Amino acid sequence: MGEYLLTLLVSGLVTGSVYTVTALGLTMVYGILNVMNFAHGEVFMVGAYCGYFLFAVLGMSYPVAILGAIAGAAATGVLMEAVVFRPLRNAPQLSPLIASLGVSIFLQNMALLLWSPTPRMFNTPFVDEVVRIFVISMSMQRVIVFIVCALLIAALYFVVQKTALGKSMRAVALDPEAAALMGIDNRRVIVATFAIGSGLAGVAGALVGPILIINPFMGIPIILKAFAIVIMGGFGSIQGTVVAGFILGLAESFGILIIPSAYIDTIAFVLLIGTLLVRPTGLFAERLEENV
Amino acid sequence: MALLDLVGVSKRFGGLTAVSDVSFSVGEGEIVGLIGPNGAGKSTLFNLISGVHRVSEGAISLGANRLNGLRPNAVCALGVARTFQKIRVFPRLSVMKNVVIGCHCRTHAGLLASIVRPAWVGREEQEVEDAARQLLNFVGLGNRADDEARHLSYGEQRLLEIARALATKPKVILLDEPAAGLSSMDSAALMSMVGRIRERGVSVMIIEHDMEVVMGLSDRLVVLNYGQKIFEGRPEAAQRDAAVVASYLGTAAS
Amino acid sequence: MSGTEPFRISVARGAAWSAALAVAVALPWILNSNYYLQLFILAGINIILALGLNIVLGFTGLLSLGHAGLFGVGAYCSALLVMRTGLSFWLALPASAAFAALIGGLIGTCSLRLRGHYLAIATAGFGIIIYQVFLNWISLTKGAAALGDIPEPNPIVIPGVGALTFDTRISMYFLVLTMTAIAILVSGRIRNSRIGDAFFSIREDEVAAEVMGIPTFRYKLLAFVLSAAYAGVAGSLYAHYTRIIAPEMFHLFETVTSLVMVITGGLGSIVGVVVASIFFTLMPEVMRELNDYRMIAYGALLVVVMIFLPEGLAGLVKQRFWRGTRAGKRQEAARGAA
Repeated sequence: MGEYLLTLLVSGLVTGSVYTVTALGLTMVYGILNVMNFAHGEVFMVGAYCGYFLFAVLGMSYPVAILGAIAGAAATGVLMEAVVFRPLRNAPQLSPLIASLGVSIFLQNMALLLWSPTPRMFNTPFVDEVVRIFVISMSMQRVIVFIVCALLIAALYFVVQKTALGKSMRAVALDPEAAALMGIDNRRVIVATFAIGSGLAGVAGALVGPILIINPFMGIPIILKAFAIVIMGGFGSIQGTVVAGFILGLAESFGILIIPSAYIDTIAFVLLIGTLLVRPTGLFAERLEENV
Repeated sequence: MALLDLVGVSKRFGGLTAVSDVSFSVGEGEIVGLIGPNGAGKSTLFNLISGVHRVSEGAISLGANRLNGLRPNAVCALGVARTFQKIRVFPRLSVMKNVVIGCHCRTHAGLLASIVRPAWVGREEQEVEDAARQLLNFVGLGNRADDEARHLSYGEQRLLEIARALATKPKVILLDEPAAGLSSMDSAALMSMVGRIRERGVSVMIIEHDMEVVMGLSDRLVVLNYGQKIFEGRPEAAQRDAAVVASYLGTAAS
Repeated sequence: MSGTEPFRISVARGAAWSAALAVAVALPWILNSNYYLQLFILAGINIILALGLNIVLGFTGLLSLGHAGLFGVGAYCSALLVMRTGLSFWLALPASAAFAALIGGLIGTCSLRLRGHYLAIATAGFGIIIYQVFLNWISLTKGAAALGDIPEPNPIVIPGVGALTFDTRISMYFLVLTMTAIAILVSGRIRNSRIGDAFFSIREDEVAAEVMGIPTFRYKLLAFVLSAAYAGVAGSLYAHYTRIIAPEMFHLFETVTSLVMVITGGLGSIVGVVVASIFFTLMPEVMRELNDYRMIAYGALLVVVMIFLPEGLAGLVKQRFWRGTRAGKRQEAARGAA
């Protein structure tokens, strides 16, 4: 029994790490543009498909496939920013939200058209390779997922807190006008943020592709969970996103004990609604009162 | 006789104390000016009175009614109206509609009545429209009734906000920098309009940086600096008060 | 709004609606085709559904993405009431509307303290939960196997004349037409009333509205409840018209279709929503070969409209119309002189 619980724990951490990485991409874009990008899930999907095509179809090595996924996802994100979000910079909040929903629908159905609804199986050699950690065994793929995600989270934290780019990002997020006055090129920072945020989603997609089934609509549960995590953690808060991401991963993992598996996806919503009712600003965000 | 009464009002935003232990009152038929350097907490005070922010400490009341802790619409229904420092008209609605919405809290037609439209609903709407037109004429926007609010000039939008606020039939109106962006000619017109607002039986509290406007209009001045009240009294006395002078000169020098 | 409109425009507006009604009544004979009549029946149901979304999004500015779920609540509720309890359709319809309104109210109570994106996601989440319930509560809804054999509306007995049955397209058409006309009328009454004013003020500037005395939470909840009631009515009509319903018809995607109709119509305009609903119901059928591209087109359309025409067709018409008015000409002259 203990072994089983331990397996669930580890599984939850793996899932949590993927959710966290994806949600971090979303948080970054929100922090900078004040917009929740509905199409973030589709960027994840694009990453998964890129990884699939490079690895399973073109026969590249898995690391190359992942890099390709990052590139594809980042390119998608940058394109989105240029075509959709930049023209709507000064529009009321509802406009970019609806537009991002449009992008999401567009990308899902483009993928459907181009790549057909047939689910793809993306088998890396690591999926079958089994590893023993203490008393539990799991596939190497999951181990890789966790390690890469953990590294990415650490790397992102480093970039945001210690590098010049990170400082610029935080400045633009706080006060775009002041940042511009200080000589920061807002446009470049925004594009970089989109690229990095989308790249994160792309990596998550390529890592998780072998574990999930790849189809054009795989981004939907992802985006809703990413939203749930970002809201739970507090919009724009990196620490909050990390904590909330792992909480969700663990909750879904241990949830199997209590809930039929068809309803596992609803755990995210229950947690989300609970958060919204109890502490709407999230776990870590400060209570901000709007000054009029 | 006190109408609007603030006792020991403080407001903290996290670690920042925006307003600290402020007490004063506005009487019936009074025009009270609220002045002080930028960031002194004046608009925050208006936000506290109108219910947009909750007080950290203290009590605000209008006559016998306690205001703090109420939502803004309840504060308005009790008789406190305001304009905003950054103009907040309803941009895509007509000038007329903006003022009509001000009358909302004084009218009664509910959902069923609005759908079925018994005769009294039509009468109420006509009354509202007449009142709105009268207010638009009062502020001088009578000929702009059908224009969209966002197409008005800056100064005209400020007047629209005043008309809309008056439509709520307030006992006290809080004007937040109504003269900002107005030419001196328009400022003079505004001054006389504020005087006429007082004549209609509405007390006025006005935040203004334009010293001519504020000195000329106010019966009393309340001066804030760094969230604290440093003076209360007649305008002439304020000009001679050392603390008041220091607060303005101090900020200018730094 | 009433009374501020020049009389001649009111007359023109009334004449236009009357003409449209006349055409609608004569439509079965104009079209002379069961296939097209079917499309218009669906268009009517879509109009009702879109008008509901229009109240919450177009009037009040709230992005509620659970609309298709409420549509489904109306459909399943009505079908199950009639099939399981033998209730007459004519009671099941209002009951379903009421039940959908209740669910809408519950969702609103949970979600409405939030703004903007929070609200959109929370309502989308509720919509998905509702969908999951349809899909998984198989003993009640038969799940993905679909709930079929839904009876048509019970015949109405008119004393002395006979029974009016609803097993023909024409009778269903007139039923839907009547309900659509009522929906349009009620929407129009709401828009031009004190209630509509409150909704619009919340859309334009919620903080200012509350400071001006509008109880914003109450009105936002009312908008939710009303839009859910509309969705419930549309759902009930849909179930008893198509006679078979399945969870996939009430997925988040279907909300997108209503969303496209409301956004294209623009600014809460009722005429705009009606026209857009008819267009987006007929178009996919007429261009069946391009069906694969339908959702792609909708996605692109939402983006394009938001960037280039955020106020929809109504905004476009308003601009053109306004330029011709005295006020418009004055503005243009002033801009030219500056």
